[in-house]
Amino acid sequence: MDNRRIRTSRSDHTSTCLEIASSLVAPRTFLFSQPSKGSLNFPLRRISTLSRSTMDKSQPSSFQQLEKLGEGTYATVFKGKNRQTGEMVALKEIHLDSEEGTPSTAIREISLMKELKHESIVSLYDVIHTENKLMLVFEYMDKDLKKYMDSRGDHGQLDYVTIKSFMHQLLRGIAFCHENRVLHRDLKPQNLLINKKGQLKLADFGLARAFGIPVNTFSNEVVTLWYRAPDVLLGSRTYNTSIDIWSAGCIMAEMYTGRPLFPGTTNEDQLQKIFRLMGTPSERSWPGISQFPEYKPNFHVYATQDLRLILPQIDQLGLDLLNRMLQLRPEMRISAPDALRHPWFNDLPQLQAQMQQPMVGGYGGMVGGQPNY
Amino acid sequence: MIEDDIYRSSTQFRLWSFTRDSLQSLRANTNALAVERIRATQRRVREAVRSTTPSTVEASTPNPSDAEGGGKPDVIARKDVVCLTPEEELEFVGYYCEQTLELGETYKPSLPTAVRATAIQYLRRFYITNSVMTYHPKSIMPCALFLATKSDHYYMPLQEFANGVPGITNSDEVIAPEFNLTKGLRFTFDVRHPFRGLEGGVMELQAIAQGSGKPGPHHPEKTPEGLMQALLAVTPLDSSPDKQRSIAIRIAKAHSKAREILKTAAQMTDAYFLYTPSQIWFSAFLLADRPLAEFYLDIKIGPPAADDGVNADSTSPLTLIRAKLVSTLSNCSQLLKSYRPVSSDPDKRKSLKGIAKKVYQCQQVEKLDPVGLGRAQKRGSGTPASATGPVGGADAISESDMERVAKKRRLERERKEKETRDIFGGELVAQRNKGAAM
Repeated sequence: MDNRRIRTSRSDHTSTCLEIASSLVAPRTFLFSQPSKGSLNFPLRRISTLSRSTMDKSQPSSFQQLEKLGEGTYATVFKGKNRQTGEMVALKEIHLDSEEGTPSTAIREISLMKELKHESIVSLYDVIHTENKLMLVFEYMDKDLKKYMDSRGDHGQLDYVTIKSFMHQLLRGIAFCHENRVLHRDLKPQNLLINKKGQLKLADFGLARAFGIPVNTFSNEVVTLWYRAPDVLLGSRTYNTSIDIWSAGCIMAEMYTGRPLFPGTTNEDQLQKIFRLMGTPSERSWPGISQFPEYKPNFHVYATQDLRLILPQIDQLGLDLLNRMLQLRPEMRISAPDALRHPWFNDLPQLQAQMQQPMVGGYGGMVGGQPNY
Repeated sequence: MIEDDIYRSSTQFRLWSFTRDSLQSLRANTNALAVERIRATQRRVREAVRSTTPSTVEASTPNPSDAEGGGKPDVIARKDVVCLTPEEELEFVGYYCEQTLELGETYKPSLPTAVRATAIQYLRRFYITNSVMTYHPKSIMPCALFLATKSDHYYMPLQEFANGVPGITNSDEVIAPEFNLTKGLRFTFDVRHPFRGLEGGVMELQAIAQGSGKPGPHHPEKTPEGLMQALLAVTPLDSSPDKQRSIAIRIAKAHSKAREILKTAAQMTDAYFLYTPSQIWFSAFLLADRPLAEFYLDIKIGPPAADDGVNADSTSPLTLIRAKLVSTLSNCSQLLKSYRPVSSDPDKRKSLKGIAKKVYQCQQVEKLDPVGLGRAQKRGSGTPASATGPVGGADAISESDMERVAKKRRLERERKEKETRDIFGGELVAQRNKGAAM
């Protein structure tokens, strides 16, 4: 808890912009600006014990900004080091739009990340505001699932135990979001982060939204094409939790093959790639499908293929779970809590226990050496 | 996880739930600090006037601050302004909460109730630790509403939003206080409202009315038919002119009445700070149609303990839970019932005018603060605040202010500087010249 409380010294207002660039000085994000009297009795928080003098003594706690990790739509992510604790963090720098103030995507992401505290969801430690930047301090993760797969020599394919472990963690994160009435809407390997302990966590909630009643005004331009559910591709605006399950199914298949399952180029191409494998739906197999805005009566008719043809390594139970996640009809798709109860996961504790034995240094050397950002 | 656990993990519960006493002491503390700062500013200005003036006009007026009929800064410096009490601050915030509701109504289409409610809660949260004497709600309110459109998925371009705010000439004025606001909100933007709970409860009653109700967890023996019959047998509302009307209409009426309470009384009182969203919606429902609400408790928990006390069930856990719940709900109902809108209360309007005048006076002092708004507590009382002299104070404000977002901050600052110069620099010089001429 203490390393989350970042304070700035009272003389910081003399810092120059140059200093800001190399060291990010936090305002007393979690503290109030009236520190004296010691009677700020917020429940369940220890800040009430902070007197003015402890605040004055506080170090100019700051982060050393290290290499760039990636560039997002509205932010740049850097690796950072907490100067006091040495702890690594990810610093997500949000470019403040001087025209509109803090971007709404950032507001939403902060809003959700402050609520969603779960071991399968990347933790937001703090929010730092400087002269012209907004910086989100996240727990550090070594790499995203995409890079992780790329770094695994074997054409990006992952081993059976890793796939099962990652899928379980992914579904746990999804289940937690859904339980909290949050849709992620943008699940893809790039948004799933892996650390050296073999933990997988959901990140990048910029497109996520809380859902409630009604659900009919959602924009239909959200999920990255390859992981986008067919109902969304067909123009549904009343999608729900099942869109995240479709994405999870696509990701599961990708972990087996090392290649995206449906690498479509356009909305139409994406649908065609899905139908070619899963079969073209009809009014008979999907009542009401012809009512979707993007439905075409002249869709090329494909027969349903056996997923095993492209996933020869998959076992019977795994195939069963995958099929339940990749149902074309959203209402037929398995829910996250049900998926977690699927028998495919029954032997996971046992498998992980076996893995623990020979592994001393982290996750069996599966993450080799330094992250190659 | 059950619903209660989910709520307990929310920031609304963890950071923004209080007891009546803790809320009161927080507000009293905020008020005391603001008053203290205003007094300190006045002291500094007084000292500054004394120490600076002789160096310029020493010869003719050795002690000009003693001279009667001084200019505005002198007046402000000499006489202690009347500060607000914590109660007055709360009343002033309450007025702007009502204004938020109205401002949201002016857009076409009007902003969703939830967005407006979020903005109101932002205001209420912000002013727990910030004083209206320091930050005028007139400028915080539009910013809160705009922020709520961002967090509640109803984002509209700033220019479009600003066009709807009366008295705003430059859209940058809307977002100028955004940083201070987000900081005051501790970067928690998620507000849990009671609206969704009400919808759920109403849908459940409608299902029962249609004979497709499901038994509560503690009473699995109940049948849909039995539930429907029990619902139809609920005591009619005495005041209701349409006793004979269908149960569906009765539910709809209770629904809309409760919704109105949630939209107004629940927002304008401390309900969100003191109760959970479920307690709030159900308390509103109790006010809307007590027999119907009690029926709901009957099927969920069970009947209350019998009055005669001989009922063997009076000590059963469910009966005890119900008694405890009813007491909480009735407290919450009382709170909701206590709300009177300013528009319907001439006395309140009058007292608001008085408060507004005091706020104006306090802000005049704030503007004289040589170290600038919000800087006094940062530097601490030990630091000589007038290091650069009072006339240079305006420039001191413009010095690197770490906590400001460049453009918006600059705008706010420039405006402040301008005003500071007008009131302080400009008039003081004129006053000195006048003094020198005498």
